[in-house]
Amino acid sequence: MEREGDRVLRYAYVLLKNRQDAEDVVQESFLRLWRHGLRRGMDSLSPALLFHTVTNLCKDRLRYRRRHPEEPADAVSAWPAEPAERFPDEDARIFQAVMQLAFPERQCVVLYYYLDHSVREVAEALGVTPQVVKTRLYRARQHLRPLLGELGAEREGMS
Amino acid sequence: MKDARTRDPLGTALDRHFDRMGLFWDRTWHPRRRARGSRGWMQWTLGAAAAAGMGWLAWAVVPHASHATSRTLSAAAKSPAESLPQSVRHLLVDVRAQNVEVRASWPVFASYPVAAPTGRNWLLAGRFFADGIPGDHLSVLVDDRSDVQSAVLLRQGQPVAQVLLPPAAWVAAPASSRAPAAPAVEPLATAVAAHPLSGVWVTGGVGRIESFTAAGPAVYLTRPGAWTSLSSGRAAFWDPLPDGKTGAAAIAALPAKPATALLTVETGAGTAGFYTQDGGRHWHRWSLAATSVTQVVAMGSRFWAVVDGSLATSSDGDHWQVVLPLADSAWAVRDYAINPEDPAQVAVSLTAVNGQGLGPLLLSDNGGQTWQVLPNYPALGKTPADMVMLPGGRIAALVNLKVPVVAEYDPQAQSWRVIPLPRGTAPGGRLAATPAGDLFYAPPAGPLWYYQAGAATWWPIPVPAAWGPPHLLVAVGDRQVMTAFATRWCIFVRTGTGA
Repeated sequence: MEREGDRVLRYAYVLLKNRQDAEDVVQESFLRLWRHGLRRGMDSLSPALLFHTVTNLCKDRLRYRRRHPEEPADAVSAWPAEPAERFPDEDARIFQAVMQLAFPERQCVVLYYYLDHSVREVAEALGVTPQVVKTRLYRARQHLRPLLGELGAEREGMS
Repeated sequence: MKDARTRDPLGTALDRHFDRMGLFWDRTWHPRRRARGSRGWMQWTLGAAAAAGMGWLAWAVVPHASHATSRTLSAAAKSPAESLPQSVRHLLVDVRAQNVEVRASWPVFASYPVAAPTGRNWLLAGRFFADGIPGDHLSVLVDDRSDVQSAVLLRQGQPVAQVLLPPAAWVAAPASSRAPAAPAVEPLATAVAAHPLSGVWVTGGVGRIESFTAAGPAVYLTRPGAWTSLSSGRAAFWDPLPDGKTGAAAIAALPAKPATALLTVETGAGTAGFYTQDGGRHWHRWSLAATSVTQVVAMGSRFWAVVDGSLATSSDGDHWQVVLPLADSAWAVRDYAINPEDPAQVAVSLTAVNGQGLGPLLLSDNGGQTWQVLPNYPALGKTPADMVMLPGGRIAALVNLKVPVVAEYDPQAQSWRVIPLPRGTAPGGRLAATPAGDLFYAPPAGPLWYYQAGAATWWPIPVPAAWGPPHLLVAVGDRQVMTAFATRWCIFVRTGTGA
């Protein structure tokens, strides 16, 4: 938890776009893993299981939001769809560009580029095949290129 | 597959941005506590019995403690209040809260570019006491770490006290050793004058006008389907709008070049715009393809307007430049104000298009090239609906609470103070500022009000009921205010030393 807390919170934040929801989801994930560890032994816990749990809980939360659009905590609709060039700070621009990606692509980008998971680990965490992950990363890079300009090209070259 | 690779620059950039956002997991949290807390009914029963016993002991043995304890329990007894952040619950203890209910909660976006929420505004109902001042609602602003930033106590819809808190003390110190809350700060004590402001109404014309602008010696007016310019007191000769347009029209003329004016007309397909550089002899259609242009203002040598929800500026009325890029599906400029002393200084209030979320108040000192958030906006739970700039860069903002207030920003102290409007004033209306820094306020009904900053006093300006409600208010110099009513437009001229 010490090691993964920040990383997993940021992952949940990218998926949910709302800090309060992200904190709830991460707390719930740790709780579930803790109970799982009590039943099956703490050795059965792994980062992959943690990210798998967080992913599922995030999906649950997004599903709930769709069913309850009147919830005041919903910040998804408030996300700006501005071209990234308009934001002065480069880090903020990259962040904005990533947040504008579709959910599956955003998920893959943050797991692969930010959390440094391999394609196989991303595939395990998401419950899909490695080929699907590669396709999503490719699509994400296609979307990021016009938004990030030269940076997009750098990423392309690196991966 | 990646093996032993270095951190991708994309990941590094995201990491830096997350750090700057302060997105860190609370390392003091541990699932063991939560798991222990939800382990069956027996523990719950034992816990409840123990709490009851402790409460009885506290009531019987420590009579002074029973007061606060019972209030704490009553504050947490209702299920909605249980979801409040810990810091807010601490605050509830200090303001001796009773029968707390969560009435509403909005995300707060106190940054630009407007993206992720930076906090939350809670509106709580119940009974509260801030430094002896009672209230029936409490509006609390928390940041994205759920720490209380500010709180405002309201009674019957009117703010009666701002509870100023040292944020660090709420987070770091344990509950038992927390410092007491800072003393409550009441909103500015204002008086209402017993007699009306001395002055006379001068009728400018009969009929409803829709906009008014004064530029040097020229005065431009519009009414449905027509526009006119007055100079040297000549009678108005109304011309039809260019291209035979008939919709609602607004006009603005540059004070630096009075012959250059901009005319916008609402049509079914959006806003049509025309500009003139010869006082209206020839009108040219602008090249702007925007669908909605509102709140056109001329200041110095530039026009300003809200174009599709974003703030834009133009030097000739034809070519426009967006200076505050916003996602038009999510955010819009609610109102903006320009400093007449320094037209490069612009203040903007933002509002969420879907009504969920309080946007930031922004200020630019360089004509919109860069923007900074105005700090310490009080937890009023609403963004300003109307703003004007006062001498010295001060800002007066009308906030339409149940009983509206004027929030005034002091750039030197970077602080806000709340100026209550006279009791019985309905929400809505318009605000105008004189070059001296005094305010005129036109409510939806009833008399106009004049606020003299030095005396902290509101002076009524009687308005005959037959004139109908005012919809336009423009201060002309220090002693005149032009007001458009449903049936006529008039100028109120202060006489004598006024107040």
